[in-house]
Amino acid sequence: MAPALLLVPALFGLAFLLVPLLGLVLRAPWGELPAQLGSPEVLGALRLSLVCATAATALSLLLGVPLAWLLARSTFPGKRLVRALVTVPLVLPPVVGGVALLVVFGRRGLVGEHLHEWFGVSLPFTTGAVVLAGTFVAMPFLVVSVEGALRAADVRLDEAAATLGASRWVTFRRVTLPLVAPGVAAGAVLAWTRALGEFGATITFAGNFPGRTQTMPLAVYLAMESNPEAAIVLSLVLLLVSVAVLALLRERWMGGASR
Amino acid sequence: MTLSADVRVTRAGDFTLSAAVSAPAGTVTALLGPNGAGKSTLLRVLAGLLPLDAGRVVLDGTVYDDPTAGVLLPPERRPVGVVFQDYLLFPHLTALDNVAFGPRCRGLSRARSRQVAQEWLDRVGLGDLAGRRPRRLSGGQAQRVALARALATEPRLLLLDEPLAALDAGTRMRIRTELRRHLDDFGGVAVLVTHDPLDAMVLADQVVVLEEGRVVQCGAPREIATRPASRYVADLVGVNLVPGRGLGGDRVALDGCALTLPGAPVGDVLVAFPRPRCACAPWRRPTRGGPGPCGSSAWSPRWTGSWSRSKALPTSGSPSPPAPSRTWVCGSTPGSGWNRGPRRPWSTRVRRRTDRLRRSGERSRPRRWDRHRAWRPPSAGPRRGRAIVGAWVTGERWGWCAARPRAARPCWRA
Repeated sequence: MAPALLLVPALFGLAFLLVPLLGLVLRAPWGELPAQLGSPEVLGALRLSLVCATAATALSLLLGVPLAWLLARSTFPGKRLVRALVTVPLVLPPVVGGVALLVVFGRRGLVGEHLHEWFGVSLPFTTGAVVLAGTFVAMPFLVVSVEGALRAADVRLDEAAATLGASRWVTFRRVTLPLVAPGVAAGAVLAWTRALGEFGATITFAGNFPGRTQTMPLAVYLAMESNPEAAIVLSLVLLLVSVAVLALLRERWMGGASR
Repeated sequence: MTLSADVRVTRAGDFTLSAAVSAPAGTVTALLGPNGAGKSTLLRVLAGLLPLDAGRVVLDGTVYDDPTAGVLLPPERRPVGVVFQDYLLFPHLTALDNVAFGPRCRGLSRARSRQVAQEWLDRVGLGDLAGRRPRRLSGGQAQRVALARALATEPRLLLLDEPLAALDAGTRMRIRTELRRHLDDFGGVAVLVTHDPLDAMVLADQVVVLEEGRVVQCGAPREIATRPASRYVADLVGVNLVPGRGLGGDRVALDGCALTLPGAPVGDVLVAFPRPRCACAPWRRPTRGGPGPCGSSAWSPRWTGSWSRSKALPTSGSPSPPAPSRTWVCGSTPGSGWNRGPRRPWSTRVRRRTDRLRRSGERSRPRRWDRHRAWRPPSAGPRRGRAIVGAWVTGERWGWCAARPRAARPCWRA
C-alpha cells in the first residue's frame, strides 16, 4: 500500500487533471449540440482547422523527415547544436514563435520583404500563414519522433542494401523509410494534433479572420466572450479529437511505458 | 579473376589492421581468428563499407580502393555479395522481395527480378516460403535466404561474415554442407569470416589466421591444422602445445617427464600433441555382423586413434604407444572426409552426445569424455582408451618431428 503522503497528492493530482474535462462533458449543452455543430461558423472553423493542420503536417513531413535523417544518419560540425535548435520551438511560447514568424515573413520582414517584392506574395494574415504557424510549432515533434525511430533502426540494413547495389536514395526509399514508418506515423499524428490546437502563433502571425484564419482554438476563444455554450461545444469537439489521437497512439505509449 | 587485397586500416582506438590477402577465382578463403582480430573489418573493407587508410584492393584487375590514387568504389558499385552474420534480411519485405532487391537495384525489371529471385529461392530449397516475412523464418531458412539474396546479384566476390554462427548445432551441420555445395558452384572469389575452425576446414581452400590485426598464418586448412603457428591456432584446431625445454641430444623435458624427439633444438620449445583421437571413443560396442562404414553408430570402446609408425614418435619416456595393428579412424583429418557425407564430424557428434548426457544427469559417461578430452601429461602413463598420437617440437623455427596422423579415411575396420 502506498504511503498516504504520496497517495493523497497523487489522487488530488489525478482529480485536478480529470475534473475539468469531466466538467466540460457535464456542462455541454447536449440538447442543442446538433444545432451548434451545424452552424456555419463552427463548421467553417472546423474545416479550416482540419485543412490547415493537415497541410502543416504534410509540410512538416516534407521538410522534417529529411531533417531527421540528417540529424540521425550523417555527421557534420555543430550537429548537436543544430539538434538543440530544432527543439527550441518545442519549448518556446507559441506567441513568441508567432512574433518571430511575423518578423521574418511579414511584409517588411527579412524574407517577407523579398517575397512581396519579387513574387507579390504577402503571407501574414492569410490561410497560408496559419499553415506556416502550425508547421513551425508542430515540426519539432515530428523531427524528434522520426529521429528517434531512425536511431533505433538498424543502420546495417542500409549497408546490406548498399552491398546489393542500392544507391543512397533507393536505400532511403525502399529500406529506411518503411522501417521507420511507425515512427513517422506517430510523429505525424503528434504534429497534426499540435497544429490543430495551435493558438498563440496563429493569432499573432495570421490574425483572427473568420473563414480565412479563424481556426477552432481561435473560435473557442472568441466564442467564450459572446456565446459560452458554443465555446463548450467547440471545446468538446477538440477534446474528442484529442482522445481519438490518444487512442491511436495508445499502443505506442503503453509499449514505451512498460519498458 | 583474382582478388588481391593489401589492407591497412586504423579503427577508433589503437587497433590497426594490417593484412594482405589474395585469392584466385573459384576458391574459398576463410579468415579465422578470435573476436576483435579484425576479420570483420577486413570483410567490410572488401565490401566497400569501410575505406582504406593505406593499401589497395584489386579484383580482376580493377582497382576498388586505393587511397594513394584517390580511388574508392562505393559498395553499390562493387560486384560483391555479402551474407551478414545475423543475415540482415529486410524485415518489411517477404523472402522473395528480399532476394529480388539486389537484381532490381542492378537494373532488372520488377517482373524479371522476381523471377530471378524465385529461381534462387528454389535453388536453396525455399521456393515454397517465398511469401514469408523474415520474422517467420527459422534461423537456417533465414541464412539460406540471405545466401540467395547475396548470390542473386551474381557477384564476383562473395563475402560471408560468420554465416553459421547464429545457428544451432544440428542446423549448422546441415547448412554447412549446403553452403559447401553452393560455394562449389560459385565461380568467383569467396571470403568467409569465422571463428569456428570446423567451418574453415570444411568450407575453405585457404585459411588466413588473423590475430590482433595481423596475419599469423596462411595456408591450406590441413596445413593449419597440422602445423599451427601460434598458441591460438593450436588451441583452435585441438592441438595441445606444451611448453618444454630442449636438453640437447634430441631430448625434451616436459613437466614431469622427458621425451626423445629427433631434431629438437636446445632451449625453450613448444611440443605439440595432436588432439587425442580417442576423444571420439564411444560407449557402445560394435554390433555383431560388422558395423557399417564410419557412418555406423556403433563404435568400439577402445582406442580409435590413427597411428603412424614414424620413428619420430616418442621413443623414451612415457607413454608407450599402443600397437598400431588395428587402426580405427573415426574422425578424419580436415578436408578428407568431413564434408563428404551427411555424417557429422566426430567433434559435433561427441559434443552433442556429451551435452545430452550432461542434461540427463548421467555422471559417469561425460566424465569419461572429459578425461579423454583433457590432455594428460605423458607422465600419467599409458592407459587403455587414451593415446597421444604423435608429437613434434616447435621452437623459433618450425621443426617437424613427428609424422602427422595418417591421412584418415572415414572407414571402419575391425
